[in-house]
Amino acid sequence: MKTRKSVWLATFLLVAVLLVFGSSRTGGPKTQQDRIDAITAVLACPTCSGESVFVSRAAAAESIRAEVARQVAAGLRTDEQIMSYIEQRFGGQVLLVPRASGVDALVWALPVAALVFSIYLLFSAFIKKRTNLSGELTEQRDFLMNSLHDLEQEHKFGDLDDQEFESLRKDYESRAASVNAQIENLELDEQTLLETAGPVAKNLPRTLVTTLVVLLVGTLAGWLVAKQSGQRLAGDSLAGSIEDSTATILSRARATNFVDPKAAIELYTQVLEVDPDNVEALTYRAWLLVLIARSAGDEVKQLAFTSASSDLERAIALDPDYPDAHCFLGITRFRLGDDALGAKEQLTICAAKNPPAEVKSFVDSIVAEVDAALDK
Amino acid sequence: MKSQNLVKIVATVVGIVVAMFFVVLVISDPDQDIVAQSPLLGQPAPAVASETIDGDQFVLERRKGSWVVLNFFNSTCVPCINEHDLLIEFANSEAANPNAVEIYTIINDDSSDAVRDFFVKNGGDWQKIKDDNGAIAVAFGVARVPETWIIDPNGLVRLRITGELSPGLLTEQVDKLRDGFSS
Repeated sequence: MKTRKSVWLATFLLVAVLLVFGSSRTGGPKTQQDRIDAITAVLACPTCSGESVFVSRAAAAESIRAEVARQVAAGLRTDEQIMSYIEQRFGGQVLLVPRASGVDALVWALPVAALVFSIYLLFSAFIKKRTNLSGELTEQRDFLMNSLHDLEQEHKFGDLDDQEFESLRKDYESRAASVNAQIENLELDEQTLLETAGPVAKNLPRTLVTTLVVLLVGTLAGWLVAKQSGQRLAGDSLAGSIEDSTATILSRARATNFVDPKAAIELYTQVLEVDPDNVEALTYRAWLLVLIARSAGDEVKQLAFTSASSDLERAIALDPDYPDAHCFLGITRFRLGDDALGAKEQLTICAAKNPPAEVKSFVDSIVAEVDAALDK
Repeated sequence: MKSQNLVKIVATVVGIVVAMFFVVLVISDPDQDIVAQSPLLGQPAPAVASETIDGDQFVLERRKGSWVVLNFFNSTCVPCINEHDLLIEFANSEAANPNAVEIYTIINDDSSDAVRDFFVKNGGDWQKIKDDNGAIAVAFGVARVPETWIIDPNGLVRLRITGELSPGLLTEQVDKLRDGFSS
């Protein structure tokens, strides 16, 4: 009895250990080409039907392949991050292997959970059938015992001769012994099954607990299979890198530039802590500082002028083609530094570099004033 | 008896779930809208750094502060050719606007010379951006051209239009976005 129990337990533990091991396995070292092939093999060509990016010759597939190769060569992202990058652009349908998380994971988990639960139901039904069989055999035994009793009565009253009685008695006794043996075997098996599995036939609380345990085991098994077989993607942001999370903060800062300049300055400072050479953050933090200082006293204006000019000049040194920095430096020199000549120099560069509409509107409003100051 | 009841309950639950899936499949209407979904909507536009066919540098990030329309284009694609006049019409209508939208053509799987010839012949004086290895198309998740994307002055992706533009669609969408942005 105990041996059977141990075998079941050992089997369960072995399966669990193998699943855990499989789900946490790691691949060996790969060449760059291996990585490119492996990634593109599990990405669907977005313009073909049923082809992977690896095999497709469609233009879109070739572009994806080139992008994967570029990112692998850059060495900045893991395979999962690269797949995540592609998936976040083209959507979940670009993944040939369903994901190991979210709703997609149900594709992996449900069949396994259903299988475990089905086995349990079959097992329960099997036990019930055996219980029914036991009842039938008991009835048969009782019938044979009654028949034997009747036979003895008939023989006693002389309805049967000795030879006939002996023949029939042996037959009944033999059949009853056989049925008895079957009942004993069944009872032994049933007891074992009851001890190991806890059948539905026992009672309701026990059945419910057993069902819950089976569901839990099924869910766990499904989760392990999903984790092992599903597509694992990096759980990073849409952009998937520091650079991209910076882009998100910059967009938020842009949106609050003129609504809440102090909050925007904090966001730009946050970006500069991560990326001290971020030209946009340097430029717009300086520009907001200038806007706030315009209504302040001379001393504050002078401090703002020094700080903003320094940041704007640094931005220009980092990216001489960034028009916004030139435009804002020109305005700053004129408004806070009373330097019309220096302002004109920067505004001319700004205009030549085709500033965006919003910046151009600031510049247009000051050019005439700067020209007038120079004409004096 | 109890196990039979359990089987019935499980079968009923499974049946209901399958029926619900079926109902969803039947009543869901495939998305036929020309204004398409994208995981990028509402997100910062992907970083794009390339050059124009005339050799000028193009950095999308540097266009923050302007409304930007990116039109993914191939000179041999029929819908691209069909919508070209509408793009010219849109560009002309924007010319007088101080908050004008900047239009850029992103060349998709085509040569610079072919695109240059097309624009010389058909008009359109906006900049044409090279995308030799398809990196820009992949960054935006563009698989087929034409596609038209609208990016707001904060650098956020606001709209994706797949397929050929219909008359007035771009103007209508840009005006709607611009009004919402300024209010």
